[in-house]
Amino acid sequence: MNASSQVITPDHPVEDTAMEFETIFDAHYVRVARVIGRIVHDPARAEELAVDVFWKLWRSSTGSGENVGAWLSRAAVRAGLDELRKQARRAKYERFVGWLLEPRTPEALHIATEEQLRVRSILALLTSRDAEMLVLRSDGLTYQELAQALGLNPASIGTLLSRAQDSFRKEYTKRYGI
Amino acid sequence: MESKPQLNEWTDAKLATLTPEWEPNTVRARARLNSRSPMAMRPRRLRFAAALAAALVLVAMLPATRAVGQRIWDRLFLTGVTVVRVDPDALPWSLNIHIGQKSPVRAETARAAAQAAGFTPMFPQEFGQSPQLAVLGPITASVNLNARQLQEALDKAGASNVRARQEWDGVKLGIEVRPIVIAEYPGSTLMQMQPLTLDAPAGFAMSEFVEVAFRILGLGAGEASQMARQFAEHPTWFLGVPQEDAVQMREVRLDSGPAMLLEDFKEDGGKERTTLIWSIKDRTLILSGDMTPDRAVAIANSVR
Repeated sequence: MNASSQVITPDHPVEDTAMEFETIFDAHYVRVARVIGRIVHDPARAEELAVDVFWKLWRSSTGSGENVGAWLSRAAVRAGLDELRKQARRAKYERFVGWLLEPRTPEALHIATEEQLRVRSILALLTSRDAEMLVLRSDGLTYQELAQALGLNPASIGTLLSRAQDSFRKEYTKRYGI
Repeated sequence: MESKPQLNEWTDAKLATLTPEWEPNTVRARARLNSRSPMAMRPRRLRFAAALAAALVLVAMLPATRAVGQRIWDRLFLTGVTVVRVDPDALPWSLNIHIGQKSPVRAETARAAAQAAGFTPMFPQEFGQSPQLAVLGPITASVNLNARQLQEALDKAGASNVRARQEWDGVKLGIEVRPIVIAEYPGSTLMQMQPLTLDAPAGFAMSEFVEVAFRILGLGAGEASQMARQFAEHPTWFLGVPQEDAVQMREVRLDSGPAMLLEDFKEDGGKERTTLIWSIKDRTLILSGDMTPDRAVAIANSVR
């Protein structure tokens, strides 16, 4: 997270803000899209959601005054999980055919493996914080970065992560066995 | 009891399966961002994932009247679609799905699609251009019944006066979807497939099982019995659409007969997409996209 120290400040002139936004986009877009891509298996949809995250950053002052890398991590994982839960709700009635037909665009002609589907289905069941921690941790965030992204006390990350892993394991085992 | 490092390792391995194998396209993303303006947000590109906004889950059941004792298995062709506002997640089983191919295969021509699918696809005449074609499948799925879980689900649904038969324990129901032809047009998609087939052990008490399944899904005794009779007379797919989902459904008339129109709404109340499902003699068709109901009907009526 080389650009994690960049900050958008609300009182910058527009031109400066635009330039800064470009810099942030260049530094973070790929990572944001890949974080979402861990959760949403359609690459085209993941890219759309990543653009939405940057659009939200551009339009609002949501990210102002804080570590923009952390803000983007949080926004990305939440966008992905929101989408995953929407898909999970839809999957109640389209799981037999709907998800099989999902990959339609050339990019989306990639289909999730059974294991990916299982892991994603468990993420959709977990509490938001547990799922966010697991996804961001698997994307390589350090404890410190996790704490920044999720607004948690760095000292509690180890314990919270263990609990999240435990919850994930229990749900997975309950549904699919070992 | 598992140690922390073991748990770490196990979890890491599971989550590592989600590592994307594709590279985000920065140029495209930049273009998308540049195309947006505060005054005119472009509608999101249609997603295939949601194209079947109110689409399909199979709650497949075989009527007892079809059981023929001399055969080891009975095979039933499901030639229509019945939409029911129930939550299929309440059913105490999950489908084990096997796909003959890992992803849809592009077909350059309609002839190639027909060869791959084993039937001749039909296309709407409303569009002035050829679609992008792909073929997916065949797909097989199975359900293993567990009598204890069925009974627990019945009890949970408040149907404790209904019993799940013990001999259903371990019974396997098989489903086969033959190849599906996917035709993609700008803003809409047409999918078509031949009838699904359903296999069950001969002699399986299907009518009773149908009733049990619908009682689990929350239907009253009378409704469940009616659904079982309906299925026995005309076996169809059952599409479960949970009550809480923002989907409006109604039957519409096409030139070829009745169709089910489903309108899917976003959480902010805006229209998300329209889906039209209908069946003709040898296939079921699903049209979905960002279109008005009238437009969907016009497109469906032009399918030849």
